[in-house]
Amino acid sequence: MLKQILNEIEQATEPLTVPELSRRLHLEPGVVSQMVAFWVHKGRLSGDNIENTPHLQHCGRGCHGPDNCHFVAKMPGAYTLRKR
Amino acid sequence: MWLLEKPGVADSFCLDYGRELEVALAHLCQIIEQHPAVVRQYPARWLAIKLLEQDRALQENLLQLSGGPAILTHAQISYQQLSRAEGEEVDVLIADRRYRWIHALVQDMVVQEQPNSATLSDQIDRIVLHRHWGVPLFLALMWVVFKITAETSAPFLKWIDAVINGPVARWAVLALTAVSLNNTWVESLFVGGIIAGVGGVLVFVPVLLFLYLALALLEDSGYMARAAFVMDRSMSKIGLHGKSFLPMLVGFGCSVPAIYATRTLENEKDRILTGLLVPFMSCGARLPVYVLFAAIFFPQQAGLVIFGLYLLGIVTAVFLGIILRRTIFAHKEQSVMLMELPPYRLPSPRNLWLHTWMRIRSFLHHATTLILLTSILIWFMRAIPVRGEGAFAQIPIENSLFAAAAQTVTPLLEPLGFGSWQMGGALLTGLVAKEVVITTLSQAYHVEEVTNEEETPTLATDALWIGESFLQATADMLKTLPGILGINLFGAVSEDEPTTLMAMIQQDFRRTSDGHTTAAALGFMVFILIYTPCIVTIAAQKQELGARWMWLSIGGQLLLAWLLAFVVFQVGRWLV
Repeated sequence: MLKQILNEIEQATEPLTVPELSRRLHLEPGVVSQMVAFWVHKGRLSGDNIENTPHLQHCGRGCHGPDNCHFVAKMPGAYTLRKR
Repeated sequence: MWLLEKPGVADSFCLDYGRELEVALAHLCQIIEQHPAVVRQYPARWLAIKLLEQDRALQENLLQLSGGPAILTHAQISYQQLSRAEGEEVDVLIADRRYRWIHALVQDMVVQEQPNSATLSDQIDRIVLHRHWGVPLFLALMWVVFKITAETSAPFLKWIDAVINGPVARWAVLALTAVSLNNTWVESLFVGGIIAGVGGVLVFVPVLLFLYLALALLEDSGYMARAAFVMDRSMSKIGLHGKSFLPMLVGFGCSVPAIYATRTLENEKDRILTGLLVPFMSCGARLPVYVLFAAIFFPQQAGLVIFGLYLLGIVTAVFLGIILRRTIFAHKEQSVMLMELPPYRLPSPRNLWLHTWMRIRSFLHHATTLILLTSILIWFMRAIPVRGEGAFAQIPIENSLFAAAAQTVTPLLEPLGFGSWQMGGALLTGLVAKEVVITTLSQAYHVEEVTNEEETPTLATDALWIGESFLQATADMLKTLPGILGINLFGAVSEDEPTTLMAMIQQDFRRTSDGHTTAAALGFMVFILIYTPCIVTIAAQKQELGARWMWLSIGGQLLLAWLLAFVVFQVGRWLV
């Protein structure tokens, strides 16, 4: 089941959404999100949510700090397959 | 969970991990049960599972117990044997089994009233994520955003301009008079430098307020994630990495965090390429310049012109990206992107206001720091004489150090239709921050207002006027709303008189473009769109991409801006 996530991403020819993937695998979107999070933790998917970008530098515009930039809010999580 | 709470069920519950894993677990349990010190601390089966999952913290704890090292050795052997046999890491096998069990349980226990029915989000996504209509829908929405921003903010823009150049300037003079500093260079610094400079930028707060409010609405509703997806799908088709669009989307607010956001791209070539393309996404700081020039030269099509500039920025970035991706930055294709989509939701007014206010506050902070300092610096440069007669702060601006410095770039701007030192100076100072272009123009075209002392209103009169004019501006804003949809409820719209600054800019463009003001104005706006971003963005490029790529970006953008503005002006002067 977990490997199906990776297989679908590997075989896809255009970008996928989690709802689309859950439809293909006949799973709940919440379950697919959890499995994606598992593969991100394992390092097989690059889980690059911009909100979690480390050491975002301060541009001097008066926000509360480097990790609180108001211009990077609301970015969706996006994942790509990492080569083994 | 009710099942596990039944007496005796929890004790007997045991997830079946499959034959191979169960054999390994049984073997490990036998080893563990031979060591009472360990069994006293941890249940045997639980410990066996955690060891096969390679739980680091548990492994370290086990080393402290009698028999722990031996158990760890057996666990490691079992792990390696299982991994080889199954061709996968054991913790993946364990997790997979758990998900299968959960899935089977849900299938048995959960009854869906309407199986496979599409949610409201899915139904909306059929249109929004449509293969052919997704991108045009995104562009149409952005056009609406810019049209609303430009037209509904106009009354407040005029109101703030009138307040700053009227009551605020008068109050500053009154305060300086009270300390006997009126009619000195200090008054000129405050009124002609700081108030004109910083005030010239603050005038555009309503524009940014409406823009950020519209963007917050699109973000909080869940639409922006869909926009990123449809753009990603289109970019993938032309060979650009889909994840590149996510930092670019951030660049519509500010280029600085967008440059840093390129760290999310694993491939270095993709990261550098995206970092070079981000500045073409027109940031919020350029918007006041667009609004000013659109109001002067394209008053009836301001929203459309501004939208066109944003679109040109995207097209330029995509076009350059295709060329660079197939030449300097060519590399093996990466896998497609999987993107999470948040559900659609009705944004709460409180959240909308919070997100909008945070961005406006950032702009205001910028205005009261960097722009304020630049205003003061420009004033001093305007006050220092380099030719002709006149003392400090008592010279015609054409004889100032500022004009002399700006005139060094004027010859380069003549073929573009805006070869005046005022525009040259504005573009030079725009390297500090794009909003400073407005600041510089406000000071460069500064016209001394003649005030009849008998007509000077009192503070109370001013305060009353401010309140009344704000209400009038609000009423005017509400009147524009039906007009955006093409419904004219209030008869012919009278054209407002241009401000002094607007009139001076128009006059200057008429002179430098030999009468072809429309083409020159469009060329100027294109130049602002494309040329080198602010110094903070440049610093971010240096940090993230390296000095070499930073210089390439600076030079490349300057050259491209000049070329595009040249084409726009030279072609436009023959067409219009």
